[in-house]
Amino acid sequence: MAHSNVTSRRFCLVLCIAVLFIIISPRHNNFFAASVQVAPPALDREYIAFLLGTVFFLPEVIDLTLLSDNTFSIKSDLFLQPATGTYHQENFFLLHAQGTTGKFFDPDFQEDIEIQYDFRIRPMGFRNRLVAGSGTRIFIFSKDGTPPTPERFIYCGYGF
Amino acid sequence: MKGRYILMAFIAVCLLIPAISGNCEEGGILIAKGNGVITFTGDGPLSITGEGSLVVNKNASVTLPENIFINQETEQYIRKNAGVVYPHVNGKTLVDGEDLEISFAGANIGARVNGGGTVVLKGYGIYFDSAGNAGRWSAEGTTIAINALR
Repeated sequence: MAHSNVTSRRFCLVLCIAVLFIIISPRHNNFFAASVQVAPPALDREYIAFLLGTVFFLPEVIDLTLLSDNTFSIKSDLFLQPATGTYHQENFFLLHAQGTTGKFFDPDFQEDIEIQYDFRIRPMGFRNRLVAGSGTRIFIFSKDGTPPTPERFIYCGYGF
Repeated sequence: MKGRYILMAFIAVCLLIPAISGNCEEGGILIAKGNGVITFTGDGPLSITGEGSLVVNKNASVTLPENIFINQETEQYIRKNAGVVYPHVNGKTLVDGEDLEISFAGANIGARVNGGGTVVLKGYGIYFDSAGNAGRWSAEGTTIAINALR
């Protein structure tokens, strides 16, 4: 009888973990709903990079503000010009956001630059409405000599 | 438990190795911004903006921003062997010459190097070069080699 209880508990535990894995996995839509947009495999690498980055080092402080009208604002402490853009629901746990600063003069680089942001948003704490993650941004320069340069970044901020 | 410590140590070493040794990229132009110390050795020209102190060697031809002049004279200290120290620079400084040895320490630093040589970026910031590389300043110093465009 005791053996049966232990076995059923283990079975329930394995079942719960499997369900949780399917829900969290960004590719779970492949199995059940082909019509839903699927998150790219790169998301896993981005998420791991984000976790390692927040634990061991933070190369730049980037704050994100999500608004309820599907727009966002993101600002870096190195580049004062904020970027704005829009986001949409990618799946149950993910938002996909894209935006740009537009062209502006950077006094340190002494030229006009533009920063294009592309990132995914995953809620980190429901109570505080915290969001955090990593993404890619592209620096576009106006003078000859420096080509458009992509860079990974880590952000954090608040949802609505 | 022991395996966990080994894993944590491995991850920490993987992250620390590139920071200590610094990156070494090649490109014709380097632009950087941040806070800390930027050191350049090589041939000019380059321009530096920011608030801080500038040290140049005797070979440097320096054009200072106008707002560091006090009583119509530039505040500077000439060392016997190490060149000139400008302790309070605030603005855009142009430096040209050959066999330069330049160091700028301060805040809100922006640098644009068109010459050839080696740049060391120590502190907190970001840089880009003409080869399409982006990188970070580091506490130990990030070293970048630049080939001048001729």
